[in-house]
Amino acid sequence: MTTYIIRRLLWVVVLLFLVSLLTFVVFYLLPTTNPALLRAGRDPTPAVVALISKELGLSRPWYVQYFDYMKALVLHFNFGYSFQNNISVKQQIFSDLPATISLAIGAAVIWLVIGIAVGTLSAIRPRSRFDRMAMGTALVAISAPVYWLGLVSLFLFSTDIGKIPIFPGAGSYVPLTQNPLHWFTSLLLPWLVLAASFAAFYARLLRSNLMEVMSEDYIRTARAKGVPERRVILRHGIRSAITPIVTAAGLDIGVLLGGVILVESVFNIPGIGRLAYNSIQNDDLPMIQGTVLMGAFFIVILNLVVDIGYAFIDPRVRYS
Amino acid sequence: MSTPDALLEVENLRVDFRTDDGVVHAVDGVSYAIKTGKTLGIVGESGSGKSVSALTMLGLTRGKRTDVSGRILFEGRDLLTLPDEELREIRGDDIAMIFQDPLSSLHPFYKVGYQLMEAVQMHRSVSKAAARDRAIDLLELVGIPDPHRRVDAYPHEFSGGMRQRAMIAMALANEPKLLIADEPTTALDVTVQAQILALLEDLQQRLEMSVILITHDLGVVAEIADEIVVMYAGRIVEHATTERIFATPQHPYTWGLLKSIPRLDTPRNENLVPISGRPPSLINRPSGCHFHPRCPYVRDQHKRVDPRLQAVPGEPGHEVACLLPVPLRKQVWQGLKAGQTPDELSALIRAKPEPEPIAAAQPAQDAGP
Repeated sequence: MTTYIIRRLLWVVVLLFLVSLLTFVVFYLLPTTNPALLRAGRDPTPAVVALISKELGLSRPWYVQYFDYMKALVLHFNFGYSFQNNISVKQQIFSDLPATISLAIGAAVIWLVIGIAVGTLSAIRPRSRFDRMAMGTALVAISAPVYWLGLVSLFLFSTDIGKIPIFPGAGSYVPLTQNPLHWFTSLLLPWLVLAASFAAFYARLLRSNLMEVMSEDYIRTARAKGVPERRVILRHGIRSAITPIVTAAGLDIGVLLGGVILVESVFNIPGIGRLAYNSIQNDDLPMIQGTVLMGAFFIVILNLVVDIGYAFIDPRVRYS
Repeated sequence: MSTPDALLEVENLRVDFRTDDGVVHAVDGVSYAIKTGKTLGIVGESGSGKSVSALTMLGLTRGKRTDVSGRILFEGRDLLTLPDEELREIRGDDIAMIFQDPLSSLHPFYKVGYQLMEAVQMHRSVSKAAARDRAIDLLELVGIPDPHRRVDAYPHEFSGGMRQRAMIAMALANEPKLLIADEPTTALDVTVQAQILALLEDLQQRLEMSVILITHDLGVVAEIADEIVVMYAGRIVEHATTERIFATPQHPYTWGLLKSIPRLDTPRNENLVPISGRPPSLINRPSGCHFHPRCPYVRDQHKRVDPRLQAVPGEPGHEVACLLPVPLRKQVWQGLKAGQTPDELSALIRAKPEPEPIAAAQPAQDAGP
């Protein structure tokens, strides 16, 4: 098991290296504006632009730039500085990360609770009125694009422009450390919007899994030995049916921790997603590079966590 | 028909499943009884209704799309009308069941010991430690070596035979009065089969249980059953003591089953005779005698008249549902025993004139379209 984890961690390093290389290459191969223009202010003279270009090292070949970038990253854990405003990328990412983590984890809690509850109730009474209603709603929730749902929810419920003003609107985010209550209320609407499609997807996933599990022989065995139906469902049924849910949740959370671009943009939450979006708009390579690496890091780490977690959930899985 | 000192009596049991394709008549008017400490073998092909009748006893076929009628009396109580909760208390306590495939019948995520302890704790309020001790004792009882260690193993760490032993241990957790074994040896290889059957027989004698052994293999029940019920298409076609079934079988289907058992004492040049055709659809059953499309000795009359289970003259306790005249049945079985093929014998029968309509037989009621 330990060797397995070490091997996987080495792969994480290789993968992150490849991701950084790819981002770098894509940035240089695609026709972009000259980053030096970003720094030069309004109506710069060519001399100023050339000077800035030299300062940022943009005139050197891309592989030399990449080598320097990686050297700073590996030796000093330095992600470089924004082309746009010279802010440390590392600082910027660490200051934006709490908002994204708050958004992703909070939404995950909501979608897991709703998804598992609805999926279970649907599975034990398939084709009942509840099941039909739940699955109909799920289909709508899965189909609704999150930016549309976000705007509609703001239009309906936000305190500034909403018809039924009950939730704080866009741009109301405050960090947890500053005011926990305000943090919670400001994130409620984004959480629900982000969780909607996931909850629907998880409910459907658990429903189909649990229905399949409930027809397994070992469920019949549990009933035959006199286990009450409630316990049969909870201890014997869900225990098996939950495995794919755990996998999906791990991967989804990993993806979201790398930035929830749409929801952060709609609700104007200062997170990694909004940072990445703005950096792409501004051709800010160091910042793009930083957010991409961050996202890739979360995805591969959560992948690893899921794989290791599997061995604890399913005793038949053993890594060597 | 009421049997004195019966532990369990099944009376005119019918189980229908309403499916999208139509009504499946899984069990159609089945009656049998089992005495304390005895073993009843229920034999038939898949789809003959043998498992469904057992699952119905435990209420495991209950559902919105299932129609059950008849009575199943267990110690004077009708299991069919018992509330779910009371039936649950009986399941795994007074009546326990083991299943065909021990790997898929054990929960893959829980330790064997945990699953055994659960069986105990569902019916006895004992401490965790006591339940664990009981689990170890049970594993020892069914002959699993090193039970102190094995109690913490997962099902996938057991061999096939050991899994079935663990299933048996789980069924015996509360010393049931009746053990239903549904194809307990089918998924196992032959040497392990013999061990498991010997174990069942031994445990039955030690614990004075009644056993219902459900199988498609007459060879399996030959050794340990006291009585045998042969089922076909949801009905009992023959019912007798084990000796009678093997000595003077009456039904062509039973003959087919007997002739398809490989035996060491059969001459080398004699072939096993398979039963031709396939099991009938239980939605649209054949008219008349349900077995007639596969019966080598069929006559026109058999396609219209539905045979009733009747006593065999001169053999108390032996019942059969067959329209062939008694002397003819005797003649055919003698012929089969002597090594004649069903084809030769059916020619012999066709040479004889059709007899008068059989008085006791009733006209076909639910002749299929």
